[in-house]
Amino acid sequence: MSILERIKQANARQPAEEDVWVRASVLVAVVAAALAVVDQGVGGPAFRIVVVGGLPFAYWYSWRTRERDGFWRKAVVAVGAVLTLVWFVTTIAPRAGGTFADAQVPLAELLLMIQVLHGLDVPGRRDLLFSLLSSAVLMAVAGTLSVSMGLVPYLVVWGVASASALVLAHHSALAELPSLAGEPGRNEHRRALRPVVKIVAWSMAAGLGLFLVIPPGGTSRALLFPAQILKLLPIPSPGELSNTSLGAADPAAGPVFGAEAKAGRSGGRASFAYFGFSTSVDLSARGRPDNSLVMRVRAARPALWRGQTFDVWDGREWTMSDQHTETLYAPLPIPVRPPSEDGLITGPTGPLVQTYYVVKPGPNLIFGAAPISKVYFPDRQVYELSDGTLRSGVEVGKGTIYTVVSQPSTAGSEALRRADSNPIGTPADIKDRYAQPPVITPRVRDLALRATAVATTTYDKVIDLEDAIATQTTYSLNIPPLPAGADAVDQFLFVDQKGFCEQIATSLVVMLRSLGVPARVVAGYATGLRNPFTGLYDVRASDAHLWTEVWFPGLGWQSFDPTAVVPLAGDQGSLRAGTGLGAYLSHELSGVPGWLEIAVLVAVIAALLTVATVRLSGPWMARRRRPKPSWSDWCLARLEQVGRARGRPRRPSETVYEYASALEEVSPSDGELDRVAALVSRAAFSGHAISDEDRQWVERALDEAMPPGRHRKPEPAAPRAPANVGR
Amino acid sequence: MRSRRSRLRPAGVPRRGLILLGLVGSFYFIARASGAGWVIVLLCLEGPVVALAAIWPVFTLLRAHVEVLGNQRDATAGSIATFSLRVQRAGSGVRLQLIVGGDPSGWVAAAGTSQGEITATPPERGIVNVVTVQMEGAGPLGLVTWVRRLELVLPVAMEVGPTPTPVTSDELAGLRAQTDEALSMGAGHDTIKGVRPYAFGDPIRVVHWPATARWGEVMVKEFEGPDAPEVTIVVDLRGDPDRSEAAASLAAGMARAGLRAGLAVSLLTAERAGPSAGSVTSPTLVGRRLARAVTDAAPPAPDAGATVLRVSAT
Repeated sequence: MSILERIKQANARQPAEEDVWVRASVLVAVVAAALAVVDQGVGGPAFRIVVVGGLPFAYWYSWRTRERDGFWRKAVVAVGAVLTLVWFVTTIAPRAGGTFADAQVPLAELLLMIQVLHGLDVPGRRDLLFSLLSSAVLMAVAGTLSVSMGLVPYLVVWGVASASALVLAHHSALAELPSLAGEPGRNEHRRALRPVVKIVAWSMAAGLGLFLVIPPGGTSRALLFPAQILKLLPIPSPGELSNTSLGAADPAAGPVFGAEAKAGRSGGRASFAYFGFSTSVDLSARGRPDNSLVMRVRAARPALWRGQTFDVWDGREWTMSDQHTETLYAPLPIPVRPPSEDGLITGPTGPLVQTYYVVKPGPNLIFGAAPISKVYFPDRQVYELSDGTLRSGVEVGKGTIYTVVSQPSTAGSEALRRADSNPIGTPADIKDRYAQPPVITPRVRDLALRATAVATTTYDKVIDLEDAIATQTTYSLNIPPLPAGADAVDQFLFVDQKGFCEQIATSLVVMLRSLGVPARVVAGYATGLRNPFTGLYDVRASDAHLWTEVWFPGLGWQSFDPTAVVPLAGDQGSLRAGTGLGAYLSHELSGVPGWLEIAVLVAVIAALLTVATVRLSGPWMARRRRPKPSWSDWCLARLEQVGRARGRPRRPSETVYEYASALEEVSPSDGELDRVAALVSRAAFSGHAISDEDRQWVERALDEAMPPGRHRKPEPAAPRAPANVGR
Repeated sequence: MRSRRSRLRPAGVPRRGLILLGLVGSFYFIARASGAGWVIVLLCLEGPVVALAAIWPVFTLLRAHVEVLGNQRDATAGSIATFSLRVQRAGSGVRLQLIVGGDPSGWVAAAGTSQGEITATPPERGIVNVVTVQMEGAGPLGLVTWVRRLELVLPVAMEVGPTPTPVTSDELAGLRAQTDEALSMGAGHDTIKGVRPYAFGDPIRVVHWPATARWGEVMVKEFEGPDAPEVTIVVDLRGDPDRSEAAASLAAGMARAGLRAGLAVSLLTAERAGPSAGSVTSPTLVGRRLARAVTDAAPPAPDAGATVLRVSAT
């Protein structure tokens, strides 16, 4: 068969699908998938109206014209598809040279338009199933674009509708054949849909199992580098730090005085923001960021999302010694190389791609696992500080998406221990800036010396100091105010002996500097809780964090988190997609009242018990409900057995008389079977019992009518009570 | 009836299932490349659906129970025969066909427990003890089809007679004339031994009107005498298989023609149990005798003096 013939055969007109329920369920699945895509911000208002209104219209039109030849319809669809493709090409052409992420939304729009056009020409079952298949592709597109749990309702509707469509389509195919049992009954569709519940239940159970073992999405080497900004609002002073979430304390808002300054800098704020994302970190300030979602991070493995560093410590506050910025402007990606580390890093590194989806406006810091090597930021212009901190020139508002490629060190503990003997050594500018003797009290210095008395390497000193801090203090967010004139580290280590990340990280840096080790504090976000469904880390305001970076010759700045266990270099991250499912669900359900949890649990157990009871007791109940067979029933069963043995089973529509006559024709018996039928009918329907002699005669006649070797008693055994035939 | 043998296999390449499997594979690639967790979720929902679509029909077919409740004893090669089937536990539905002697019937659908008749056409003469039921199940999702073939023993062995060859040969002309003469002499004088349905060629005068009125179809009288002229048909089916079947068909045609002409027809055939000789009084009996006739043995010799017609495959 030639290719042309094959194409003709593939496009040959199919029989029209007459089952409206198949069409309806396919339409629901397609619309759910289309809405899922549209809900990700694809298309403008007019486009959405065309899609949402066009799909039902297209399916209705296709249903009305299913029997027609459809040449012109196909022609219109083909022309429409070509025009849509032209539109797609002209849309993405200006973005040539961008990343694949630039084509994502136009591609989604193209698929939606093709889906609408295809909906105009779905006369047959095969066409409908093709639509169903393409709706699965649309769901995958929506899944690629979605970063929230908002996809769940669409996924549920699409899944149920798809399963229903497949089941109904199969049922429709079977219904085209002659039925062994004659015409189908009235409730065939309801019966056909019964397996859908089982399919959904089994799929979810098996899907959950698969979800717990399958590798997660994403690798270190991603193909997509999304970058998007909804509104370009320039920062008042380009290169300066801006943080609108700090309100009056926003460093870009100019100096603040009096009560406003107190409220912003020293007191607790109603704002969700962390005041460490400013030009200073005041350890006398008290306040706690709320639990609101700040951003979502897509990354193949966990890391600390660094914002900026502080190097100057005055005993109560961290500030920055150098806020000079260098403008980086380039087509995406924007290359980034921390100037202080040029040629100084020889240790192993591994790429880590992270995409940040900003949910709440925050600082204009570009977060990323350190050190950052490339940035995909939609403004194409960023500002770099000497410590590697990146700032944007525009406000980072809700809906902003940017991607960062980092080259974090993969050095393990042994490599860190060997680093001290690296001939590269520590550059003088690093030593001058980060290893100067700090503001420190004598007893803190003594503690540092005592704790590291036996340590021979920088790494061991860090570990020993972490242990000392852990021994000396406990973690608490509720600490008393810092007294006027008190040294924050001394107060934490020897007076209050409790504190949080700011006190802990500061203590480690101060003690390391007292030993001549270059160190600094870093403000950023902890990894956040991984959402196993989206595969993204949900970073909340309360994940704002301060930790420590220590310089290692040849390896550069290495992160240490004395507050908690820092993700070690080389951490593989989640090896399974479902990792953290329990933790995520318990966190998400933590706001649900306890009584509701118990009620749901009880309801689920009750439902399972009910189902199990019904399933187990069903056969027993059926047996109980079955009427006790009468003598007439037994005789009729016996007569049918005789008939089957003679190769003439009883037809469903035949009366006892008709059947007996038919058997007489097949194998004449001098009218005995006719008489049997008469007596059996009389016993069943006359309301009067027949005599015992007649009964015995009937039973004997039936026995004799049975061919030799086939004297098997029918079930149930012959009762003696008169009753009805009931057939 | 119990099944003798059963075989389960997939029905060719399940294209729809493969397309979905390809889609699942693509989703995995997309998820790995993009890091989209929802695509993994989608994959985890679709993967089991594909697996269910592949496995579910296996269980449906293995659970399904098929039995032949009844069948007609007499059939003719190339003509439709009716079988009564009952299917139990067919779940959301299977389609099935009956294969008799290698020729499949049309498909019928059966769901749950259902019972009904299915027709098939036995292609050739012989005794049919076993039929094959081919069940195809793809439900409930209809993506992957499995086939199960069952060999079922018939409740009653079906005797498939040959397709009668229409006989217009002059060989029977003389005998027909004799018969007509005998019948004309004996009509109204001889004892009626019974009635039978009208067959093509029966004289109108032998129609039994009371029986016709009672049965609703035209019945004709069968007389005990006077002695109808006898003809013995010797059927020797040894030889080339194609010619054997043609010979059997010709014998059937001749015997039926003889019966229609009112002759007393005897058939001499070779059966599995040995040579068989005996008169046949109806087309049904002709069919049965010829259904049993074998091709590897010689028929008995006819009585001396009998009017003999020889039908041979050689």
